Amino acid sequence: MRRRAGSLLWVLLCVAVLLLLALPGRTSATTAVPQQGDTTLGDVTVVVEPMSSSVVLGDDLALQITVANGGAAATDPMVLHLDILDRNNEGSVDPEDWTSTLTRPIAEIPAGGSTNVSWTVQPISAGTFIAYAVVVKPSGTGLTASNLAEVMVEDRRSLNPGNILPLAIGAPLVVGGALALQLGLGRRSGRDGRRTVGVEGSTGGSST
Amino acid sequence: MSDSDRNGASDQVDPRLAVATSDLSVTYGTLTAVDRVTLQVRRGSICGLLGPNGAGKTSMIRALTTIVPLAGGTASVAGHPLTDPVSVRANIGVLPESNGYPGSQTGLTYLRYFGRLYGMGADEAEQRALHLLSQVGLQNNRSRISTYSRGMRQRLGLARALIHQPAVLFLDEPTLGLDPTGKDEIMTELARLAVESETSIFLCTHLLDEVERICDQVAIMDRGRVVAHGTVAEIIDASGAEGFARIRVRPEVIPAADEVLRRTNATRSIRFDNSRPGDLVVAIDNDHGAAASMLRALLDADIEPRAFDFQGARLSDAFRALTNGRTEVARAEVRT
Amino acid sequence: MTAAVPEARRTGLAGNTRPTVGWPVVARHEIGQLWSDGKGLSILFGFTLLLSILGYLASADAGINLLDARESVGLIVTVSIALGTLGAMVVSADAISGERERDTLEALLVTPVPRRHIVVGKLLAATTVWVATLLVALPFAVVMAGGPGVTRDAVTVLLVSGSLSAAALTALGLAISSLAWSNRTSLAISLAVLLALAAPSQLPAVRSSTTLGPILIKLNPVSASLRLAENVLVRQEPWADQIAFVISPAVAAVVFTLVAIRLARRLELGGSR
Repeated sequence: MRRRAGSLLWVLLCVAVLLLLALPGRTSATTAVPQQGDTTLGDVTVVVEPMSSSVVLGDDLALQITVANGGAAATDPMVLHLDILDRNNEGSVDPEDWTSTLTRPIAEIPAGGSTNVSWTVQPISAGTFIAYAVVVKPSGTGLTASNLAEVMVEDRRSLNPGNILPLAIGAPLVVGGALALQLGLGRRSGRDGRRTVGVEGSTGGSST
Repeated sequence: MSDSDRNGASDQVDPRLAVATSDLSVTYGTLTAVDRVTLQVRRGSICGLLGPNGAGKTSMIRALTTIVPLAGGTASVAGHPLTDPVSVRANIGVLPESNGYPGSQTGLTYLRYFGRLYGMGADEAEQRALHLLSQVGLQNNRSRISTYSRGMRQRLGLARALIHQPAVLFLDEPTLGLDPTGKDEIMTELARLAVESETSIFLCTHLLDEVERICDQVAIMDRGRVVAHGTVAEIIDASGAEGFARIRVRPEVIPAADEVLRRTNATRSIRFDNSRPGDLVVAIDNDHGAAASMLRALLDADIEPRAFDFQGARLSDAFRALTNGRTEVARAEVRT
Repeated sequence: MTAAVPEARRTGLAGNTRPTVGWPVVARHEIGQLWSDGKGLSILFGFTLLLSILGYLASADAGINLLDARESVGLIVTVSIALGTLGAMVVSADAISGERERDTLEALLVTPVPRRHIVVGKLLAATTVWVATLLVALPFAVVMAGGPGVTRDAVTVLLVSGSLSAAALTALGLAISSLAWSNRTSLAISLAVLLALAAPSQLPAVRSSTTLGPILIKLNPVSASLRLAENVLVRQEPWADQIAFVISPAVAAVVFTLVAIRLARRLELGGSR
């Protein structure tokens, strides 16, 4: 009986340790996606629009980001950063694949004013994604995150990307056809390619 | 260094000479291929250049055709000094020993191209090419050179060398690899060319019988030097080569005949031909006078020859004597 | 050998002491040979096939944004320059050493055509390989550059930078061919030189270097040409900033051509004596 109680104690202890180990991970997961209205930069708010959009793979999508200053004083210059998440795979996407610039400088915003930034992205794979932006003050420690804008990317398969197919097929056909014709004609007239023939089998040259 | 600098100067050019060299030397690094050769070949003549392998024949031709620079001496070809290589090239035709052909071209295209290179217009080059193809028996062959036999290629090469009707024609082993008929055709054609078109021919070959037949001048090279130069007769005389007389007498008088012949001044040696009893093979001086005196001595001794055959020294004998029997003689004698 | 010699009149150059202006004859003949015996078309077919595959894949990637459209244009243009130059260089590297090896050089050297004319004719013939590859590359560049709107830049880069680079390397190949005793040696050295010149622009150490790297790339005609294409087409840098990348290919084209012509005076048979 005492042995059973000891085993149960060990099991409970292990579960407790596992729970303790798991607890910090869950906490960080909740902070990974900032919530709208998290205004650690005073009264600065960031909104990404459209809230939900659909785009076909290969097309560009223009995200409109509005950074507003609801405070009574002008803000310091800030940096706006865009990030992308893959909702289905719960993993992050390399945002550099979507856009060549990940950050943009934001000049100081007067009290009650706002700044609009148009950010064109190019999705590189199909799926459902989340785009969000954060502003940070380089000299400070806080940040303000935007809403989560959902981007649905529809797959697209094209056999003729950029209308190159006729050229990609036609050019080798034309040149290859000309070559085949030439080789065929050459064979018919009994030639043997580029071979050069000599009177002797070897280059000779023993004589001086 | 320019062509002019490298090929030496020849201030005095004799227009009666197709080729004239004075102390001409050709070197490759430390190897002296042609060593101070002085030679004169008359215009309109056929000069045979003979010598064992490594004697310097090809180097001599390459020097005279402006392919390799002279290491020393002077030379002129077709009345132009080698210091003026463009003029020399414009007046010579060359068929090198190892001449390659573009297999994908036809004979006509090949000749036409070289006609253009010698400054002919398109029509002129075409006509000249057709004429030469006819001359060398290739007029009906429209196929590519890769289908040509060895003899056909060599004849095409000869036609190419003649495309601009050169004053001097240099031929390095033009009959190499040809069958007997092909060799005869080439050599006969050369003899005809020299006579009919007044082309001087500088012929490097191992066919000593043919040289004897068509060449009016011969130069024999050995180890880079010309060891003999002149007509065939002069070369043979100068070489000291022996003539041979085969005498058949009755077997019982052989000892007497042997004694009589040994007393004759013209006799150099006597041997008995065991395969034919009664035959004596006598090496004698290379002239008919020697043969006559030998015959007279036999008759004076009442020894009546049943058969008498005199063979004067041949160019091959002279060649062997002058080059100490090295190398090519055997090759020349086994030609087919 | 049946017909008699019809006349003894010398219609050739006997007595003529002027050198024949032979480069147009040599060039015409060499071009005819190059494009009629399958060699030129084989090179062009390989080039076209490779460019087609690459162009299609790059367009497909650009179509789904895996590759920036400008980058795809830059890729096609730089590959066209590199492969077109390679094709022309292979032909020029064979021009003299090939004749030497096939025993056809001596017959050419004993003609009154000045040797520099022979070299110039052969150089022009080899250059037609670049012209042909350019004619194939231009439609690809135009179609692919239409999207990002850099058609004029792509065409200009091919015409200017590509042509200068090809001219320089073709002349270099011919110079190497004049000196090499065997065709294999000539081709091996030429390809090694091309690789050595093209490699620096792709080496991370050189690309990232801020001191010696840019100088090396500008001095090297091949890497300068490739970098110019990248700068103009991908990075959209203005043409006015690219002068430094045009100078070395232009200088190399002139210098290597002069060297090839200069070496022509020393053309030798080599090998047999």
